[in-house]
Amino acid sequence: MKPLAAIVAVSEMKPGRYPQYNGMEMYRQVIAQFLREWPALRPTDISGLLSAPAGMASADGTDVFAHEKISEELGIEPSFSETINAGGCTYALMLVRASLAIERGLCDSVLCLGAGRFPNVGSGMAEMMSKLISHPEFEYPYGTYIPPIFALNATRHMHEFGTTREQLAQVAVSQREWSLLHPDALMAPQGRLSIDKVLSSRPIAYPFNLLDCSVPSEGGSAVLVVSPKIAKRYAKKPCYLFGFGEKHTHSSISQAHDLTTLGSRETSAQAYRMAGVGPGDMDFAQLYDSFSINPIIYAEDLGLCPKGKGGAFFAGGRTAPGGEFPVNTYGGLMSFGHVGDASGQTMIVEAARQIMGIAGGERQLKKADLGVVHCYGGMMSEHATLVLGSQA
Amino acid sequence: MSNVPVNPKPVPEINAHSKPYWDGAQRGELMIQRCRGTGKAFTYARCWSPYDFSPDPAWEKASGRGTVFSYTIVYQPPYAAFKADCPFVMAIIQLDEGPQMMSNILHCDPESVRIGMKVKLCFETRSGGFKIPQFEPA
Repeated sequence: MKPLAAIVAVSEMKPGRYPQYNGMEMYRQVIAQFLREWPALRPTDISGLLSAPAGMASADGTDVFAHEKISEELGIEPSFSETINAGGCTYALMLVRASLAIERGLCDSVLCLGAGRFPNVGSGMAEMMSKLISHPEFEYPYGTYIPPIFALNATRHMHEFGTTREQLAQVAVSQREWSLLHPDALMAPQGRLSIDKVLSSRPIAYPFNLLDCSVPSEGGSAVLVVSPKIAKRYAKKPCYLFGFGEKHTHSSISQAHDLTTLGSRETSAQAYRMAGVGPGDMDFAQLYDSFSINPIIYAEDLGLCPKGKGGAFFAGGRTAPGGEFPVNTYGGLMSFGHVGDASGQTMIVEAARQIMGIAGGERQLKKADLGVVHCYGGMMSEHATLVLGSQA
Repeated sequence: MSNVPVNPKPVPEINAHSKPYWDGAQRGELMIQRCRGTGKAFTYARCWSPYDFSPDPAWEKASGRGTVFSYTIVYQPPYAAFKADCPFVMAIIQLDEGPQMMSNILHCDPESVRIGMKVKLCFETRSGGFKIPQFEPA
């Protein structure tokens, strides 16, 4: 396997509510924590920088010049830098863009930054969000918002494959178990879940109850990507990128060609092919989980189980701590916290920690040589799969 | 004044290219477009065909018949304007002509909606008398 890039340093803010910070201040908090955790780094170590827009979907406005402001504050003059956005898919694509830039010699390291916000429900941002995440002219008038849009995927999956609400609930139960092993997980203090607890939580949009939904919060993270040639200078055991796939299939849910097989089938096939591996070689998966249906569809599309069997894949604790195949080892968006679009980088941070062997405590997997990360942006409309591993 | 809702449900901001769609709705018709090159029908209003980029796709009146492709029952409103409607149905309708569109399903018990159910066009009148295409059980 040929490494395309190497992750050598990661850090993540504790998810929560940070009303005292605007978009740029969230970035400063992320960076300050990153520099505290990796004190040997100097401005000369960073020759590329990628950021997402600052203050996305927040009332104080979105700043698409985040990359130049952050670079200036860091005291760096990168030879590769931009602010990019593909929703939750942004950070997997940053890793892709960083690896291509490094391969072409534009730079030899890229700092990837995210700081996400999620507006409070009913905070007056709901209409704006609705127009952003669905077609502003042809979908918004029907009362579209995020949970019912994903519920359309879920109802269709239940119809085509007989997936049950108990199986959906099992995803939430399994991920809560993982979150209990993460010191920063937002929902860990709430304790364990049961299928009954999920099924008896208040209904949001059929088939989702409250506990089928991720927890809106705020946070952010940093990932330092370097050329595989210099990776060992920074980390004893770097996390290498071996393959990736990217696909953008639609924007409005009513225009999706399919609700149960998504762009993820193509992106995962491409990522495995590039890495020269298959789904059977994976030791774990991190699957973007705004709602309980998502990991079920991704487990299928990524070939971790046959199409239609995603519900059964999560049943009986198979994906929970101690199970056969660990999924979302940090608790996922549903129990760690959904830090806006930056949740797409949380998954990369966790995959890197597992592969680098620094996840800590009981959460650290005994075998984490190869893992797959799948992120999406929008309403499961933009897709990226990453194959990450420890062996250069 | 008493007839004016406190939080009117949204009406779309109409663009030049989509005016025939909304004009049709005000007449009580559902308008779809057809690619002049391939002959394929599509939603939603566009300036070109997504099949072969041919310009100025033709407008035609749709049958107004369709099938529920997927649905959800919304219990928590997105914002205040939809509070009185809850629980309401949000659905993707597959038109008999082929293309799909977003809709609510009106005039029925939300729990009675199923995938594959036959539906027909109806209209909902919003603020200013503006008509929005909707569907109800056929």
